[in-house]
Amino acid sequence: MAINRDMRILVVDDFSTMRRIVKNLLKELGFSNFSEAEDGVQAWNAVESAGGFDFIVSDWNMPNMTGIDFLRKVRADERFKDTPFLLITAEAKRSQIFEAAEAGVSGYIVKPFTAATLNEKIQKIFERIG
Amino acid sequence: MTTGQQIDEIRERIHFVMSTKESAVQQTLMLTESSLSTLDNLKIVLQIQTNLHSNDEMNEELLSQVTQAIEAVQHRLTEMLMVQSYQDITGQVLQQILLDLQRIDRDAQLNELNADKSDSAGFGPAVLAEEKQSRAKGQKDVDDLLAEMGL
Repeated sequence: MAINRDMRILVVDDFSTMRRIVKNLLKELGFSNFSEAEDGVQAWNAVESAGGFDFIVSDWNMPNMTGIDFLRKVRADERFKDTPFLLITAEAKRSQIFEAAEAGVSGYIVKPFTAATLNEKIQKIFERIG
Repeated sequence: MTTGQQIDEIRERIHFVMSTKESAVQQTLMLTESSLSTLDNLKIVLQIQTNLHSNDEMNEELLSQVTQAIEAVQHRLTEMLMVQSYQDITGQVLQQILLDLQRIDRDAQLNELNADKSDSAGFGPAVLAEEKQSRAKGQKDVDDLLAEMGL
């Protein structure tokens, strides 16, 4: 199934440079409909007020609410639990990767990463959910 | 100079490095984004020219080659943006150093550095050899671990 390039994407990172980089990479892949949040709390508010997103790309290590807690919150809510959720993070401890998988992450990318890796993971996520 | 004063000085130097790096990265991002946008506009102009001269094969081929070259440059510019993510990774390391300094300052005891940390709070990038052992060695290692879990 072709990926909908107009889908609404939420980019979550406490570091504005990283949000800009991720958005530019996604733009190169043909996406253009973005919202942004600086941490899990802001991201959760954005999810609730927008009535959900088609795809969430989030960092792990953030103040107020971490990416993993945000993921759990999304998965625990009946309205948003099926949202594809990609973690892009410098956190590469094996226990953390297992923790993310158990929390229901759809894809996991370790920083630093390339545009090709991002593309590959997005393809894989959307192939899986068909 | 007291330990506290020394720590303050180190902290100040780290903040200087962080802000200098941040300002350089912001400038690089701004210039790269504006170049990407200029090339986007150029592509639109070329597309209009292609449509206007759709009967001229030679012209069409030239315009197509120029468009391809522009897209190649745009791709490289995006890769340049990507490289700027070093700022995030090194920033997290420096933040960790600042936190460690705060702990040293508070406890004035080095062994307090290894106080309990929750995995959920995050650690930042693996830098020390000891840390690297318990961590995935790269994207492929992460993919293998996730594949074991059926992802």
